Amino acid sequence: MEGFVFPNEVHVTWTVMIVLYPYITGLVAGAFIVSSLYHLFGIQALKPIATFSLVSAFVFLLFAPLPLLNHLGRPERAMNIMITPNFRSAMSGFGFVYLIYAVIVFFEIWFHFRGMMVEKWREAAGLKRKLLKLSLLGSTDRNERTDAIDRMMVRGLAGVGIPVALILHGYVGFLFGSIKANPWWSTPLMFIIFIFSAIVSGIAVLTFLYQFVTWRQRLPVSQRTLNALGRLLWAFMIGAVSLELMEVLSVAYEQTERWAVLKELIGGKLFVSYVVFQLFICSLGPFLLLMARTLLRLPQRLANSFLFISAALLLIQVLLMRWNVVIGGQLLSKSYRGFTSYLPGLFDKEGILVAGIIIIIPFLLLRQFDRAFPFFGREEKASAAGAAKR
Amino acid sequence: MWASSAGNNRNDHAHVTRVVILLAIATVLGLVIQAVLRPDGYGDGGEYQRAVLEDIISREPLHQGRETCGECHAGILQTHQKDIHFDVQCEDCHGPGAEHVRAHREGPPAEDDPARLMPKEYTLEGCLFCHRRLNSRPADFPQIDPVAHYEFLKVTDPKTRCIECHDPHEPVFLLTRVAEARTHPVIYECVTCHEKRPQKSHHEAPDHPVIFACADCHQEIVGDFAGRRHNFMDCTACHFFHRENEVAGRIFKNGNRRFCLLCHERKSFKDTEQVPAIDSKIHLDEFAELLDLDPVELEADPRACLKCHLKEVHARKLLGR
Repeated sequence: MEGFVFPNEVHVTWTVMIVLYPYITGLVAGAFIVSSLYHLFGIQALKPIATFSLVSAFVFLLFAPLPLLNHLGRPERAMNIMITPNFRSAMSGFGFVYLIYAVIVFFEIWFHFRGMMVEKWREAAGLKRKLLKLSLLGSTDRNERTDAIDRMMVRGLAGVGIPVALILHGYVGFLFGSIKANPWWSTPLMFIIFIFSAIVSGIAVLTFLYQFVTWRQRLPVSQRTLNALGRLLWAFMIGAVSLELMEVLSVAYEQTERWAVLKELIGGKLFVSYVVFQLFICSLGPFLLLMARTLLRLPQRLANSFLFISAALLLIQVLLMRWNVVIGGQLLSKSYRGFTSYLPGLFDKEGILVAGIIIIIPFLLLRQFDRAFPFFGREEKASAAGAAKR
Repeated sequence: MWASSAGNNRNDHAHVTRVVILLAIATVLGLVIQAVLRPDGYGDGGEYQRAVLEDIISREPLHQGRETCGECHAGILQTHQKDIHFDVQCEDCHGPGAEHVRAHREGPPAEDDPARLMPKEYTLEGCLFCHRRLNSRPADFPQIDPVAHYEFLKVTDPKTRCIECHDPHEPVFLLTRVAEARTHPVIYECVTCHEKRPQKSHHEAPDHPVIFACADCHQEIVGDFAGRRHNFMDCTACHFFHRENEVAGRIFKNGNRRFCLLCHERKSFKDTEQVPAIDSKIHLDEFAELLDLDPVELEADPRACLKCHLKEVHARKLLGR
C-alpha cells in the first residue's frame, strides 16, 4: 500500500476469478469467430479446425460462468438473474445474452454433428441407441437433402452467432469501460479492445491446441491451415495491441488529471506485468516472430515453431491484459494519490490453484469430446466410413 | 448410399421443425417458470420486490445494542464504556447477538448450543480493519503500521495477536473514564489562544505556528519532557486526543499501571533486552516491601508505577500534584 488510499480500497474485491471470466469468454468469442470464418465465410484453409473451434467455443462457454459463481458464492441464486430480470443492468443482461449464445452454439454443433450421430445411431444397440435417438429428437433421417439443410442451418446459426458472440464479449469490456469513476477502465474503446483481444486469444488457443494435439497424436497437419492461422493471428494481434496502445496514448496525450496517476500505475505497480511482460515479451515477441514467419521464407519446421511460440505467448498476453485491466484498475485509489496491492493466495477460495483448475477443466472436457467425435479431419473420415459401410 | 427417405422433401425438414418446436416449448416453459417463481410485487416500483420491504420491516432485528448486552454483562460493559472503545458497539466485534440473547432468555442454553457463547473477533486483521494506518483516515484516529508498531515495542513474533497486550474491552487502560476526560479545544481561530482578535494576520507574525503542536501552548512541560528518558515518544502516545466535533475534543491523560505495562511487561514474544520489562506482581511485591507499603493496596492502585517512575516522564511540580 502506498500513498493515500481510502479504507474501502485497501482490499481488492475483484480477484483473479474476475480476471479469468473475461479471459474464458474471450476464448469463447474468438474460437466461435474462427469457426464462423469457415462455416459462414467459406475460408477453406480453416476447414480442418472448424469443428474443433466450434466445440471449443461451446466447452469454454460452459465454464465461463464458473469463476463468477465461485467469486460470488451462493450459486443456487444464479438463476435469480433470469427470474427477476433487470434490463437496466449490464451485468443482468449477461444472463440472457449468455443463454441465447449457448443455445445458438449448442444447436450449431448439433446440426454439425447430426449426420455423424445418425450413423452412430444406426450402428448402436440397446440403451445407447435409444439415447442417441432421443438426442436426435427422434428424427433419424439422413440423406443428401438433410445434410444440405444441416449445412445451411450451421451457416445460418454462425451468421446469427457472430453478433451475439461480439455482444457477449463486448459487454464484458463495456462493463469495465462504463465505470466512469475508474481512470484505468473508463473508455468507450474498452469493449472494442476486449473483442479484438478475444479474437486473438481464440485464434491463439486453437493454433496452440491444433499444433499440440497433431504433434502429440502424430496426426497429419495441414500447412495451409497453419499458414492461415499465422496470418490471422498476426493481423488480429496487430489490431488488438495497437488499440491497447492507442488507448493509453490518447490518455497520455490528453494530459488530464488521470494521466498523473496512470503514469505512476504503469511505471510502478504494473511495470512488470504490463510493460515488461504484456507489451514487450508477449506482444512485441509474437509480432516479430509472426512477421518473420509471414514475410520471410523460413524452413517449414522453424516457421511452425515460431507460430507455436507466438500462440503460447499471445495466450499469456491476453491473460496478462485481463489481469492488468481488472487488477490494475483496482490497485489505484480514487483519490488518484495512492495504490493498494494484490497477490492471490495459492490455496485461497479464489486463489491460484482454483484458477488453474477452472482453466484446465474445459481442456479436459475437450479431450473427452475428441474421443466421442474425433477432431482435425478425423471426423470426416469417421462420418464417411460410417456412410460407406452401408 | 443413403438409408432412408431420399427425396422425401416433407420429412427432410422434420428435425429442423422439431428443434423449432423444442425451442418454442423451452421458451414457453421458461416464461411459465419465471412467472411462477417470480416473487409477488417484483417490478411494481422498479427492479426490486416491494413486498420484501414489509418482510424486512417485520423481521426481528439481529443486532441488540450494547444496553441489551449490559443486562447480563454489566461489569464488562462498565469497563468498556470507561475506555477508548466506548463508542464501539459490542456486536461490531462479537457479531449480531439476537440468537445469543434468545438462547439465554429462554433459560440456560445447552452446552453444545452454538448460541451459548458469542464469537470473538481476535485476529490481527479484525483489529486492523479499523486501526491499520491509512493516510486517508483522520490523523487523530488511533492507527498503526503493524510492522512499525511491533518494531517500536520490540515484539519479535510478527504473529502476536493484539489481545496479548490490549484488552479489547479496555484497550489502553485509561486512568480516568472517557466521559471525565478534560475537553481540549481544536485550535482553528485566533480567539482560542488570544484574548482579543489580533490586528495582524498570522502570516505577518514571525514564527507564528500554522499547525499547532503541543509545545506551542505547553512549552514548559514539553521542554522538561525533552530531558526525560521517554523523550523519544510523541506526547500523544500517552495523551490520546479524541476529536468530538469541529471545535473540541477530549484529551486523555494516561498513567494507569496497566497502560505502562503495555510496553514494560515481560512477555515471551518481546525482546526484553531492548525494552526494560518486569513481571508486574513480583516487581510490586519487592517494592512494597522496600517502601513498607501494603502489597495488595499497591497492586490495586492504578497509579502504582507513577509512585516511583513519574520522573521518567514529567517533573512532578509541573503537573500541579
